[in-house]
Amino acid sequence: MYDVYDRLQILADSAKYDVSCSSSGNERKNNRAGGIGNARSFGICHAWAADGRCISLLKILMTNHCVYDCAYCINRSSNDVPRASLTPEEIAKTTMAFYRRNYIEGLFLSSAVDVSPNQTMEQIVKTLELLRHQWQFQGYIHVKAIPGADPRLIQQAGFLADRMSANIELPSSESLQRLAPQKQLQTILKPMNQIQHGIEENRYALKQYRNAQSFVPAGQSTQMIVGATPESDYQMIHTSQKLYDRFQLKRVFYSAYIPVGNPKKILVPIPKIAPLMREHRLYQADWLLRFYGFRAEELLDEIKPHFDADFDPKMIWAIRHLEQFPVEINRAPFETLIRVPGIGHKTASRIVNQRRLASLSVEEVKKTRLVWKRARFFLTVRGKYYGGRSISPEGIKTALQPEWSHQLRLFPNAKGGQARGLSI
Amino acid sequence: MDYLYDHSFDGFLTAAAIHFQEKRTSGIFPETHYQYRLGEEVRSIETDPIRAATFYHELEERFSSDVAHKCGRAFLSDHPNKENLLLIYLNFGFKKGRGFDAIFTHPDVEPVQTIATAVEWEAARFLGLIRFQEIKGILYASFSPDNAILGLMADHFLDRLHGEAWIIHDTKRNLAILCNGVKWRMVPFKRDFALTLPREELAVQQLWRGYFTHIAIPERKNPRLQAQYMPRRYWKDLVEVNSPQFR
Ligand code: SF4
Repeated sequence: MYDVYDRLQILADSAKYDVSCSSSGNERKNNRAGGIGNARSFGICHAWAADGRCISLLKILMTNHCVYDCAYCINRSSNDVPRASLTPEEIAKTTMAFYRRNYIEGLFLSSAVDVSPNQTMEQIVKTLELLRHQWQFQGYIHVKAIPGADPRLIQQAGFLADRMSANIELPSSESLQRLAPQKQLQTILKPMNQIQHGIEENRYALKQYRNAQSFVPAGQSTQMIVGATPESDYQMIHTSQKLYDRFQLKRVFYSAYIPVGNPKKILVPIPKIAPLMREHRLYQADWLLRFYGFRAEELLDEIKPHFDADFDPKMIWAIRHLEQFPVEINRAPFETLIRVPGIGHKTASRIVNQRRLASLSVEEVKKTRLVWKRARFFLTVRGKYYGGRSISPEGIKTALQPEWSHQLRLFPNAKGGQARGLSI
Repeated sequence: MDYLYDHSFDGFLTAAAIHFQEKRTSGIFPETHYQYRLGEEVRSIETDPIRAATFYHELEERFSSDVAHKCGRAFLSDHPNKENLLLIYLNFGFKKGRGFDAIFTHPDVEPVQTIATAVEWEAARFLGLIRFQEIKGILYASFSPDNAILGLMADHFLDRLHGEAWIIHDTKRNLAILCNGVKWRMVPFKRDFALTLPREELAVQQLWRGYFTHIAIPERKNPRLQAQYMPRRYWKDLVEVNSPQFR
């Protein structure tokens, strides 16, 4: 039998492809006497791993023994990996030791399905109970709802956790059918539904009774795997939009598929852009859906169903909608300004604040932290246009080309084909 | 005439109050680093906490609490000329009145915005990057931030580590916050001996290092991105990367 050190490493290896790990969304002051910990709504990163991703939570699986055989997953029963489990006591103790030393913001506990969904969910609930009650832990806890588990267990977990997630994994039921035949879309959507209703009911209870316990106060999230199945970017963000609309999810996370072991059932067409770049574009698009008032149909459609490696989704949208530009920076409403490539929320509100005092000159505009070399094609400043002689999609693309080499550096595998992990 | 002050925020505010209320100064400088110049008159300002507090309140009233707060943050910066950037900023404010801060691209406003933001940014980052080691029941952390952000750590950790005794030590400035679980205070602090860590502490550190290594996705290795978020100059105090295997 392995000792705790080895088992923790095995279970970290098993959990690392799950990306839905941010600790934000819930503010909790430590107010219980004898309790330890707080939660900050802005989220705190504690370290950055060698892949540049933020470590905020201790992200581990309870166990990686799995009775299922999902083709995209490192822990599928047919894959030959070392197997291990941690007990609820071991997980609680490790969480506390890491938390006190300020290594982490809390725990992200997930699990493979060992024996049965119910047995797995029971172990998870037990861990949460230990942490919250015995150790009086008030830090952040994100927990997975195991599809197929008894709704009562999910309910219990919801009153102990800050955030819950049920992973949708793939954007269509056909793909799910093919790669995870033991799972059904309905069993995944069921806990999602339950959690959403729980949150709504709880909102009411919290208003009515001062001592009501809160249920999943930081909301729920989900994750989709990018590039293991043939769905287009359009289908992906369309699914995300539906999830946001229907379940009021806080986040949809995207995880570029990395083949592990020998996944025979996975057949992906050679993509035009590498999964990592694609993942990046999907996050950008998701951001536009959530904060910039875009709808999936505006960004892509059936005819052009993919994002571009060279330009971000907002730029692509703007280039395809040149009839809406240029806009006058001293007059355009906030909602229009944030649709201009190179202008974000913060810059737009600064512009709106400053122009109240006096109209902005081009020098002042350049100092507003907008990205001038992108924005200039879509703006006028005091009536004057700075984007060159005539505004055309090709002209803009050519003028922006150098930007591209910069992005390539950020994504060493950005161009299709030679990306590692695609040669299946 | 140059005004010299004692390095404290109260001292700076006293000097600024005298500048705006009595006699204009050509610049405010910390007394220990002052380069005397021929023909330049100097005046040593005696710190007056009450006058400082009154002046701070005046900034809140005249402009906004945000402006006053920003001055406090900018003052913690390691920028060598922060006092005079602040003076220029406030001169502009007194001339323009309420709302001057929104003209953030103005050369008198922008530098203070920038250094105040840098301070906030570093403080926010260190809320995550502080690493405690447990020695005889006390949690001890050392760090050496660019800016004087030690004081900005206190309330967060008082809340987070409720009831625990802890020390956060700024090794660059020889200052520390001592906390007994209920209250904290900042004191001069120097440590010139090596720490002997108990077995239990070493075991937890080892566990964390292992976790830190294994949670990275090897197919996505990106040391540049990592160093961008976790600058190398911070590494010596970070348990997960300060052992020989990462150097
Ligand atoms: S049930 Fe979960 S852990 Fe098990 S193979 Fe499927 S995705 Fe992997």
